[in-house]
Amino acid sequence: MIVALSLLFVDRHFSGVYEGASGPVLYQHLFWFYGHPVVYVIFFPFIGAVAEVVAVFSRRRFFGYHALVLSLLVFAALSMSVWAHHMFATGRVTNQYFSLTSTILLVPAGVEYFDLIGTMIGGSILLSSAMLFAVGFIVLFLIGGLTGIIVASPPLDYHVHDTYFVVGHFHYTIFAGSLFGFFAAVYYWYPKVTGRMLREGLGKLQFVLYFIGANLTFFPMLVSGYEGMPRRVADYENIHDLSLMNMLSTIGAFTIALGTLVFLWNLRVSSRTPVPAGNDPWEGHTLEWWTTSPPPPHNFDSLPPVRSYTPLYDRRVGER
Amino acid sequence: MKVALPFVAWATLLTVLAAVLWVWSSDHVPPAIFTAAAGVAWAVALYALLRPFPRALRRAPDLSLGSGLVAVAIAMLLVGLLVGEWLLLIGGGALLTGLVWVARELRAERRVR
Repeated sequence: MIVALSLLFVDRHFSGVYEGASGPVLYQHLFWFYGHPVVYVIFFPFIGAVAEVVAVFSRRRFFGYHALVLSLLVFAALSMSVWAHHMFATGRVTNQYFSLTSTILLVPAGVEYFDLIGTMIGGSILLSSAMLFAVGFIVLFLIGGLTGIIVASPPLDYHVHDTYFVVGHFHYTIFAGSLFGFFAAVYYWYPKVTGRMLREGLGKLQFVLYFIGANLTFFPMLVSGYEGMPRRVADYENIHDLSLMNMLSTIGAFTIALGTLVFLWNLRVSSRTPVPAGNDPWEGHTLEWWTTSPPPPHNFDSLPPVRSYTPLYDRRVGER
Repeated sequence: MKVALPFVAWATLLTVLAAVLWVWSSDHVPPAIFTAAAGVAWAVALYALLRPFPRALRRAPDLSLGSGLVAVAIAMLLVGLLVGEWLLLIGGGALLTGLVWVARELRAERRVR
């Protein structure tokens, strides 16, 4: 991205870089070589948070920990090989190659889903706010991933290129992959960071509003995009109920905003009438739940025996 | 050696994928970009492979929000060269705040020692 912007700077002031028929395509190459992997950079940390939340609220050790770590590494490496699937419609990239590498991403993604679901199977699932957001992440991210197969296929991508379908696909991926994962992490670690509990009732209300809002906003985009609704336009012809779809998206967006207000209210209630969290309100698996909430500057006064990545879970299982 | 393995595996995967793209692509730009990325991955992998094992314990740095702000400010100034004066002004203000912040952190650190 730095290279692309530096060259753009030179081009705008002195010209001679992005010139000719291939100039804009070169800029697109440089932009997407950064732009696609960075989406994965955004949601990878939240996959880790969701995995932690799913394991803790399933009361099980995470299933396939090493496979998940390996799949994330493969995912990260492959993410650098798929950038030109954003440029299928330019006709100037090797569509077969980038379609193949984009589709191969399904393998590590499948491993991650297999691990998350495998952790829940047979677990004693507690549907706390954090767990609900984690499950929301799993469901919405799946829709984002499955619509990704469609845009990874050049013949289908030609049809939906530059339409709301792509916008819907991206937001299913990144809204689920960032916001649902983010709130799973917030509800899970807020007690540890502040020493206070967030209200579970308000958290569940926020989840319901977010889940309905996200689907109401982004699912109509998939339909309207498939029917030909172009992106980045202010005016459009009202065919195939495009107005209705856009109205549904607008209602969904306001529903999400309402959910955000509920979260802000939750923060206020938590700060005005605090409920002490204690050291370990969730029966967490990892070391941070051993110390006080919030932790002292030196973090730990004592440590339990650490023989795995889930020392508190080991201790609890040993006690039973 | 063990630390370097993921980097070596990563660099190898990128090299193989870049080689396939060289064979497949009629345009030289995409494989050239990809090969450059594989080269950087190899540089990191070789560094991880060949660097001497640290004998002494290393002191981990404290969290410094000030230096983070300085980094963001420099990025804003660079992007501001392209985007416009408004971002240069914000970046300049952020840089000044960040430098003062870092100076205060250094002074506090010296006082503790």
